[in-house]
Amino acid sequence: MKSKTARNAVLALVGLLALTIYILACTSFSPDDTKVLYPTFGGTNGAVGVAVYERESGRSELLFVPVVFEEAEGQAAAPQLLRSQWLADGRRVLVAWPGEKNSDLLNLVLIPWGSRGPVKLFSLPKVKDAGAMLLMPLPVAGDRVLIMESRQQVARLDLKTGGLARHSLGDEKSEFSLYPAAADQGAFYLQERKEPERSRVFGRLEPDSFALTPLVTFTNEPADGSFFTYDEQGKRVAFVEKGPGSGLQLVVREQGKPPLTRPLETEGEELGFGNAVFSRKGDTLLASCQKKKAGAALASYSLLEIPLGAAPVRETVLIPALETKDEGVAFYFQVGVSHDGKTAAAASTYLACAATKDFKPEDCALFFVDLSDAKRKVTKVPIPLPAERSAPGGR
Amino acid sequence: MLEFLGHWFGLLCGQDPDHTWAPGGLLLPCCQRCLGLYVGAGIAACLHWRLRPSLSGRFLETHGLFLLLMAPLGFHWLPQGPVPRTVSGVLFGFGVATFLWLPVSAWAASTIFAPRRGTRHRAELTQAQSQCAHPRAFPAPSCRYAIALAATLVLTPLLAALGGTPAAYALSGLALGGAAALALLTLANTALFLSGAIHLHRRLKPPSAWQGTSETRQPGNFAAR
Repeated sequence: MKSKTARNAVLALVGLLALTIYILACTSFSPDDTKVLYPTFGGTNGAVGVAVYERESGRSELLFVPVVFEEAEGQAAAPQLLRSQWLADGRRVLVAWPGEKNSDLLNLVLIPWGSRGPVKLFSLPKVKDAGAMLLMPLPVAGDRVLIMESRQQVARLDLKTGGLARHSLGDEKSEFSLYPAAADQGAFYLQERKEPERSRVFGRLEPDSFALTPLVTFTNEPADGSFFTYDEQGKRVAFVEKGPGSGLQLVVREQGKPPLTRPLETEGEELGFGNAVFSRKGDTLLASCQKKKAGAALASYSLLEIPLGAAPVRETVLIPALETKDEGVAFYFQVGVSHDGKTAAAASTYLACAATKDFKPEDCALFFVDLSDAKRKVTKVPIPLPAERSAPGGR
Repeated sequence: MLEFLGHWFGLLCGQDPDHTWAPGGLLLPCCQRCLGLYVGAGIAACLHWRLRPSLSGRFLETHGLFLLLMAPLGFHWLPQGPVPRTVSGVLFGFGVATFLWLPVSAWAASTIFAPRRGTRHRAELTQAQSQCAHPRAFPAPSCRYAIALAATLVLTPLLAALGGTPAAYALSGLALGGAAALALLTLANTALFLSGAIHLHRRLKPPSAWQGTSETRQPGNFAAR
């Protein structure tokens, strides 16, 4: 009897220990929420690189800096437009950037993080308008990255073997763009059909067979400067179009359901968007936004929370007034949301590159917005400015 | 309801949306593996309470194996996917609930379910009769337990993958029930452990500590008035 009691006690302890270990392990399996990739200046000559910010320790580590000198005899480096992203295992970082002189060249580097391994560099010479590929993260399925070499041809690069496979998705009557899906779910595509009728089809691209599965079809025309986003399952897409009058409206389309529209009150201001993501609950869109009055030089940069219902739009201003040398820089300021949906992050490094000399150093930062805080507390991690800086892409 | 549950399950689960079922487009409050764990634990606790299967050596060994199976899957030694995660969670939940149930069932057998004088417990009679009729047959409660385990393994990922909005609420409710069951079992085990520790302490305390108290009356203490 006593031995049975002892046995029961030991086994109960084993069960409790197993449960405790499981719970502790489960809550720590979110590497992208503890570390954040962001663009930063890599030195004094204006080169832009990629750094990793560890939220727990508050420390940043420079990971990668491509230094391309602008002129043969100059000291200034041209800031490269870098797109960095974690791979699903959280142990490797993929960085992509377009060629400096050749706009059809796409460079990729695969860098191990937290463990030893080779650094791999790939150059794809025939990626038409490579810079435009980097408006969104590249779709990655396992060890393979999918890249549109032209508006009709997709290339699948195996990051392990270097193998390259190409496939034609359609003819000149359609133009394709690719979008990333969740780690093990391949990629999404957006097909713009010109004939017989102008329409857009959003669907899933199978990375192995390149098979296309349409999910949402719509005929709306997104406005200039609009974002295009979708939910995790690819069942809903959202973008901005011209609304009644001179305003803009948010449109959410889902196959088989009437379109959901929501006016965006602009009050005489011009809106531009960097990107948008659905909230974790799927009832709100989080968008990075540039706002300026018509004809004005100064613009503000904010995080907008746009509820899909009737609740008012919530704006958290991150940079109140900024003047840039060029128009159309809204896409330089993009927001990312943590997996748990509690934090939004955005970096203003490229805005600093495009800004005039009146740019305030305190506005060059990695911004964290606490979405679980009722007042949306903003934490700034300063990004030190170099002595000289120029606009990205040689502008 | 899902938002409320998501807030509390955030304390127990990483809630990675990439690894979370979304029946009817509604993200469940916990990841695929945790869903299996809490649903499995809840159902296992109910089965132990209602069926009281024989907690024999082989039964316990099997459930120990369920716990060990989490290692290769949790450390990503084997290929992952939504269904393997959920299934491994269910098995782990059954293992944890069974091991936590052991001391509670022993205590319950000696107190709540102690047979009345002169009678035999109905379940013991049924079990004894079935064993007499089919001495080599698998005991009936354990059979039903195995069937329920198999059904949970099949139905949980099926509902999560193919069920709509009702499935989202049903699975969330089951996960909540499972988490509550595990919490109760943990509390019960803690109480039993503390009770056992106090009992052991009293037994081990040297007898001299109880002498010379003010309440002890020795012959001749009372002075003659």
